[in-house]
Amino acid sequence: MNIDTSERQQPWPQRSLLFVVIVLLAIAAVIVLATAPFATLIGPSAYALSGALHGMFAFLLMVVVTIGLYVAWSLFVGRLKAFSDLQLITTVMATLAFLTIVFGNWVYIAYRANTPDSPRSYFLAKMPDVHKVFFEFKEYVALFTLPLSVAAAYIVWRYGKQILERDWTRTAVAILVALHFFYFVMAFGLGAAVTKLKAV
Amino acid sequence: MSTEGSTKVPNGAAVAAFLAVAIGSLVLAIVAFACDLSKPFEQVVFGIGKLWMPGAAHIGPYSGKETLGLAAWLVSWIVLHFVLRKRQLVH
Repeated sequence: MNIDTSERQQPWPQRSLLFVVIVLLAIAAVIVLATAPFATLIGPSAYALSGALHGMFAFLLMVVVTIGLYVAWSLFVGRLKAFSDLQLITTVMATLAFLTIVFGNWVYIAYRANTPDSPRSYFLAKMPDVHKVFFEFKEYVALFTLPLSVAAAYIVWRYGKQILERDWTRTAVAILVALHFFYFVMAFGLGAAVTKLKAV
Repeated sequence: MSTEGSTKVPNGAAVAAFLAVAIGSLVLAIVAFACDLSKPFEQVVFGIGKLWMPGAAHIGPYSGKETLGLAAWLVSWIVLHFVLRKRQLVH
């Protein structure tokens, strides 16, 4: 009896996984929207949508930078197998950092509005350190994430797989991604804490 | 993984990209401190932000600080790129 031991080639092995992910997301969306209508979900503020998008992009970036840090570590120690993952991750990091900053700027209008109930006025009146230390620090370190991820993506695409054989370039990309992770997590944590105390 | 046969790109372009990030971040930090120390300078920075950024009037001098940091990063990157791109600087 002949047994075919050759590995079966699946033209799109990711397709079924992608389908499962889409179905799960659709189920989650139906449950969320059925139990928490969209307007209630994002809140009544005029800046609710920009705030929701800022938070959503930041959350997505949190997931991506976590993966990115692992990929960067693999690159640093010379164990990176899938180079295309590094190209994808750094590009997505740069894109999400850009979008998070753009919507962060937009929602910042509501944060520092010259009204007694704006978060900035509230913090300055009741908890000045929250604005003067936490928020002031967060709003600057968050900006570092864009050049860090753009530079990492640029180097990865410019040099391609040559990076894997070149110590300095490999280390440079790993440092850029690690710094991006550090500054982003600082900004994300402080942003979440500030929002928890007083949302826009 | 071998790249044998392919041309080895000098790492000057990577060094330029790396240094430009540091320069942009440093300029942002210096401008932020300088604005805290000098109100007239803060107004100048605010004016720079209002030149182009939508909604800049509502976010104050932060718009100008972002602008100067962004400009320092991109301009220094362009300059350093053309200066260093053909040079092999480190191993």
